[in-house]
Amino acid sequence: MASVSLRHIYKRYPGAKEPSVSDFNLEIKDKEFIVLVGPSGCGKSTTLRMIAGLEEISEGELYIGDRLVNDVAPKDRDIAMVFQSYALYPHMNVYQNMAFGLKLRKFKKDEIDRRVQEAAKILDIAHLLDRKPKALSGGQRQRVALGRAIVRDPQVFLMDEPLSNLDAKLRGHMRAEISKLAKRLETTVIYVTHDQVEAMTMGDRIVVMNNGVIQQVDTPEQLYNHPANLFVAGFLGSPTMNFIKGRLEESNGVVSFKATNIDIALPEGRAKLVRDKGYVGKEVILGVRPEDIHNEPIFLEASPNSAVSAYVDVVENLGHEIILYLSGIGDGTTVARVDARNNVADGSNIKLAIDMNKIHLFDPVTELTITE
Amino acid sequence: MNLEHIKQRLEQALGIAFAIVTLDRWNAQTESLEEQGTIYFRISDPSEGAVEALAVDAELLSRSERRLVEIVLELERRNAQQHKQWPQAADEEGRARELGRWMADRLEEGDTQSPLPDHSALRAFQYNTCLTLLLDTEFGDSNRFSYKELKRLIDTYFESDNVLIPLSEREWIVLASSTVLEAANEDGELGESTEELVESIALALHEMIIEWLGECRISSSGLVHAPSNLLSAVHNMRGAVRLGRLFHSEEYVHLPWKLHLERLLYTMDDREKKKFLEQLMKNAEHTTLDAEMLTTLHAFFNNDCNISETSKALYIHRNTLLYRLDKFKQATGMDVRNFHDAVLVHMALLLYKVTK
Repeated sequence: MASVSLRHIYKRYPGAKEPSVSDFNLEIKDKEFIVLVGPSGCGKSTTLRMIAGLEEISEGELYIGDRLVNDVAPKDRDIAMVFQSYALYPHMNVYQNMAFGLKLRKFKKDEIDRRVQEAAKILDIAHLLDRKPKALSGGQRQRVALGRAIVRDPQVFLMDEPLSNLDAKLRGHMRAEISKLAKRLETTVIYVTHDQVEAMTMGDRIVVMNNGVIQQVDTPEQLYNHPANLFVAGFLGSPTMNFIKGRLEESNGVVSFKATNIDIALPEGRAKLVRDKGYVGKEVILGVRPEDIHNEPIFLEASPNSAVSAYVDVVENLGHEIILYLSGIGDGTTVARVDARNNVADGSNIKLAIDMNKIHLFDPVTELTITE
Repeated sequence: MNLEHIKQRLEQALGIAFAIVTLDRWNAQTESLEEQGTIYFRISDPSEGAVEALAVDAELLSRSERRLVEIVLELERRNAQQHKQWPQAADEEGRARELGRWMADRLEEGDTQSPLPDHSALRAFQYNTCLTLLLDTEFGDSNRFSYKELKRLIDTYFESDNVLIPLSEREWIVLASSTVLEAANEDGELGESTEELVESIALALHEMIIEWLGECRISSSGLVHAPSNLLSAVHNMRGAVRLGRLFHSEEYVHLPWKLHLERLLYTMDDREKKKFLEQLMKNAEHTTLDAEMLTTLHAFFNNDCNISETSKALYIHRNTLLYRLDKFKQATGMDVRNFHDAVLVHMALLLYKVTK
């Protein structure tokens, strides 16, 4: 297994105005499971393809272990790739599919057999070894594709949206399987997805990308709780974070956030921060996650300084929780996720309170956080 | 040169009878001569003494037809001469490269009909009908590979001895036994069409090649009778790669039978393309076709305009998809849930890629 180091990597396509990937810097530790996530066209797949050797690196250096691999052919990088399409060799059975790479590398027959049998056992496909891909289900095919990579025992696994062709249920299952597998194999994995749930549940660290630029690199928990900017804050979480445009004002030593129908006081710690950074009297964007808006009586009672009133446009009852689409807090729609035991009806007016210790404030111009 | 074959083809094309004759000598500097109401077209070289010729009643042939027959015979003679001079390389790679050069030259001249020269004698032409693929490699300098390396990869992949013909530095033709299609069709409950099998083989071949050598584009003409139709098949595959690179640059397997609409649109001149787009999108704001909307529309068309399948493919709620489609309708006046609008928008999206 090996570390991977990307140093000031750029990818420029001929004729394009902007680089597809800009100044990408990342140190991936040995045995780390790192997830590149971002919207379509953000440069995550291009970055993975550069690591794989499928795209030339326009500028910068790429190391796998201690070896500079910018000019090394894909087959000599000691990596294994699993793609979205996981196109299995249709004329070969599962065993031959898994053995193919080893056969080309001229491994001895008994070594090939040992590795294939072992991988098949890990992936629970030992009973399928004689079958052709056509006779397999989507999940089984995906396992064979993983098996093809595993038998190679590479230094790094590269996976590009490997679960996107599976249905939702199977995707959830395979997500857990891949995480388990990565731990068992103690291998370095670089995983690309646009699915934030995959990113949050699988990655030791997540790299959030947008427009070819790294927005933030951190653990899932840190990214979720301490987003560096508006993009990261809005990208992770479902339903997404609410953003309310308003102004910070100070009166009698209390700093408040004011917007349409909102006048809520900041806790002293946050007040000191925005005061020190010179944001009092300025426009800001308040970010609050749906689960940080509460309607339990006990919370309302304890939070008189952050109470708001809202009109319930839509109620989505998910069984264990309720998603409320609200108007009257700021200018747009606000979403709250509340306990299903609280009876809330469409078209009613309700009282809520925001957990002010969980709010985020962003500079509307730079879009960077001002509460970290 | 197969004289009888040429005679038959000329008779079919012109609807008149030709005769094969031998003249003692050729009293002209031209390709044909007229004597006593008969036109003679020379076939063999007059410097060699007696001349073989095709004879036809002069009244049955117009002036331009006469000139055309001259051109056809001249090309046939030149072709035969080249075959005669075909150098026989000693090894398989040398022979493959010679054949590749011959094919590249024919295609350069616009010839897609000539049968392969008998002299090529590539051992694997035992496959009369074989699976034909074209690899268009896009590797950088660091990924240079030899004929032998690629041949070993291809042979291991198809589990047989195949023919590999380098057409140019980056283009390679692969001829594989048609039995690979039978092998791919085993075990399945329902038989797949040849096109579907060829596609799955091409997709898997692409995945294998990129893991070993780097990125490449692949096309296939499916099963081809190589000795007589290979030039035409290669012409089609080259066309498919060109269209694929233009219209679907993010994909790497381009099959001629999946690019009919693209081929049609390619023939439009640039002004017409722009005009069509402008008219269709005249009401749309610049931001209407952002990345999210493009992805949404592509997924919608790829899923046969099925709302449930598209929302699943995009991992979004069906209401979110409907909202996006409504937004597009509001901006352009085109409702892609309507068949006629869907066709137009699909065409516009293809053109958008090549004109933006």
